[in-house]
Amino acid sequence: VALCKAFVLVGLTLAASGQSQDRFTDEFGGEFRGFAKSPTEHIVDRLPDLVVVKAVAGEIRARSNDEPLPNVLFEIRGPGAAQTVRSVKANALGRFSLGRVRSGEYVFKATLNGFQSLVGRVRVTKTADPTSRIEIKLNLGV
Amino acid sequence: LRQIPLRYIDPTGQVLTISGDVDEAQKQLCGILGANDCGQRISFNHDTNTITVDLTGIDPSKNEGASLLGQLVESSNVYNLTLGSEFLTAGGLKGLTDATPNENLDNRDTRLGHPTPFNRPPNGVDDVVAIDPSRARFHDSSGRPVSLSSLIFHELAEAYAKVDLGRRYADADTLSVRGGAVVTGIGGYQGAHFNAVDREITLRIQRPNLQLSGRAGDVLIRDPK
Repeated sequence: VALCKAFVLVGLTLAASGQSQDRFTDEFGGEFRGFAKSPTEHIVDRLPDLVVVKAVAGEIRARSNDEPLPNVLFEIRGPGAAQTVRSVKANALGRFSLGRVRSGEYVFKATLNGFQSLVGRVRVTKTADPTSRIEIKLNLGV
Repeated sequence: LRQIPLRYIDPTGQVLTISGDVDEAQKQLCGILGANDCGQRISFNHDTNTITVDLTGIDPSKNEGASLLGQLVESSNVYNLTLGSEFLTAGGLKGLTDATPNENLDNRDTRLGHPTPFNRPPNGVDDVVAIDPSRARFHDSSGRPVSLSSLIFHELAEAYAKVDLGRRYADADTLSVRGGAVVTGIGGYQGAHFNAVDREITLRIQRPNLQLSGRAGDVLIRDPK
């Protein structure tokens, strides 16, 4: 049994390392560089408006039925031109938060296999409304 | 090699139906067929909304567009292509918007659990592909614009893979996220999306001129307004 478990762990680790290499590089002029690619990444939607928040936290739902979407990978890159990417996975209620994010402007991307991804910009500032959140709705992949 | 009937007319009169801007839909299906005389080969019955495709003299093994149209017409399942700002679902008319300029709905999609009537095709239809051409304008990862016929080909191929081939949309379901990476199931399963990608790559090899434009199954972003 222990040997089987070891194989399973190795398998998952290999899968994880394989997927971690599947990231955007120079496509789209490098706009999405460093962000993860879903195995079925097809359409990437853009959120047109800048989101201003005090802390990086929010909720992700499916647009078609407004149900919370768990397991969505939420990533931010920045601040500004910095290429540092941080990520978190939405919980069972579709909620996520990233602690200790410095003030500044970031690009974010929400990704879930089988769904269209969403990218947008978020500004983190201490002067923002403390109740402000990042509200995301994902479309089904087509 | 399986031969597609030269002129196939479904006994029920309902297999591949088009709605909305039917003139534009016929034009785009013509582009997919890729025959110089496609105007004479694709006919539309206004009473039944059905498409008839005459494949006389066309070898589907050398023309993926003809192969797909033949399969859709020949299928016992019913497909609908709607071009316009709204389309019919099981729950009634549904609008296409800037946020969702195209949809591809079938009766078995479980990505959101049991689909609601507005997320299912209308009664009697197995898959509806709805596209608003004025909103569904995309560039691929190389910055090339994606043509409407390329988008329609991808979506119809995906619809065929979902319904006739019984494929799920994605190759694998998301299992978890580890170290910032999405981990998916391991296996050789090919989902409907990548089945459609395979077919569009075949089509682009057969028609090198298509390689100047964007590939619909690539990662796409919406054109800025």
